[in-house]
Amino acid sequence: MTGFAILQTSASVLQKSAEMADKDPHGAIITLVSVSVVFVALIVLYFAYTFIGSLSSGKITLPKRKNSTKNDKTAGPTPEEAAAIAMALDQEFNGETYAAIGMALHQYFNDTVHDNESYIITIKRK
Amino acid sequence: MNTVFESLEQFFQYTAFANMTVQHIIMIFIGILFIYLAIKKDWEPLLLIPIGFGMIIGNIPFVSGLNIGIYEEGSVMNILYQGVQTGWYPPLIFLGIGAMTDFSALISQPRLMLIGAAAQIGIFGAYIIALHMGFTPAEAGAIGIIGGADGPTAIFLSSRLAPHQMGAIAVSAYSYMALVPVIQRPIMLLLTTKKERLIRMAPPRQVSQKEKIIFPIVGFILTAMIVPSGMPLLGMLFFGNLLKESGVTKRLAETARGPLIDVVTILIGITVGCSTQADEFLTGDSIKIFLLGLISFVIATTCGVLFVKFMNLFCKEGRKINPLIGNAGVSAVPDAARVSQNVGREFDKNNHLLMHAMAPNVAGVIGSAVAAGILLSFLG
Repeated sequence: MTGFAILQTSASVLQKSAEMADKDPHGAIITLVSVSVVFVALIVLYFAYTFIGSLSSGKITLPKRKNSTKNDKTAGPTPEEAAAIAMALDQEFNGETYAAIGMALHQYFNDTVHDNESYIITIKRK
Repeated sequence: MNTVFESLEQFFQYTAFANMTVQHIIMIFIGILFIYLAIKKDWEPLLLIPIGFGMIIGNIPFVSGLNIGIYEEGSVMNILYQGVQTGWYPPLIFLGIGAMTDFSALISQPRLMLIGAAAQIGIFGAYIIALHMGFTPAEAGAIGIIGGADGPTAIFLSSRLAPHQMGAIAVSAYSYMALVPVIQRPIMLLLTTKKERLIRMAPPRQVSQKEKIIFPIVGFILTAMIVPSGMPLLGMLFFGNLLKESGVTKRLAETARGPLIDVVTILIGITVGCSTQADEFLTGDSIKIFLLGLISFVIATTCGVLFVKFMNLFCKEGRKINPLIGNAGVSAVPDAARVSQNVGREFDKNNHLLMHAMAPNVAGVIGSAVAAGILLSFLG
């Protein structure tokens, strides 16, 4: 009923295990090395995500490129464009519009817009 | 007439009644106990019910040669068991875990990641004790991983290092995961003062979608570079998370965290349960494995809580960490984090620690996969 032959440990495992039993009978070396590696792996991740988080929240900024393109949102509008936008707004809109545009721009540049729509249109049948 | 009796007697020899032993009956009762605990106490029902029923299936005795046993090559159960034996079920479970886990808590508070590393000391504490109890280094490594509180990782590693003990290791890991609230609470209370339990942590900052997308890519590259042997688990975990966070693979993410993980959980549970045949399972070694599993959980929880207290020595006022989240450094997602929340609320009803505890909790998943990779590279 057994057929346990298929559950045998592989030869390489047995060999490595025997070697380890000779070299490190109390398990101190493997423990020290392994715990250190686990910590190193997670410390590396800690630094990586701290850096990415700082970049994302604007605590640190990357040096700006000299030749920024028009599509680069961090570059902002040119002085002429800004003047034209200001004039158009002054003529067309009231204070509430300024506040809404200001808030939208603030969220866009700080990358805090998170409410991505699914673009799925659902039609309710009456 | 004689022929009829002879036929009946011959048939009786084929039935389970004729081959039943006390050990089989004990194992069937343990299976029923698992099912009872899952239904009545709601302890890890998604795992304990398949494992419990698998134990009943695996302990119905039969005459060999019918090609029905899990260890009989080519039988249906044996074919299903290949996923456990060759270790391809656990990475698929990790894919689902990645697709259902929100790593925002970890991304917003990366320093809490270190708690997940500290809790892995439980694995190696149990490894040392197992060596002194007479297990070989490979067996000790497979047993120690129980302290990672991660069933799939335990199965993955034991299938490579100690396949003959996989049943006991898997059942032990899942049993203690179900018992996390019972094991961890007294340790947390013992190691913390009332003042420490009342520490309120600042709410984590909002995490942008861009950060969530970068997380699995950077996380995988860095961890896999350090421990390539953990690649099957880490790769699937981070891949699943990318499916979730990319926003453009909704269908794949839903499949990974829904039907796929459900199917694999059913198969892994039933086959692991089935593999606990009495003649192999009820041995002195299994009892030792259960004891070592408990010890590794205790060490892991203790190290997690104490490490938070150590971190607090270097934290300014207002940035201190509530040590009640230290227990969550063991994987057991999200049960360990839930224990932090419940114990925290016992002392301050308005102190919600769940959000913070999720950070070391998911770091524990990464940490235990890394630890498994290291043990595999040393012993595999």
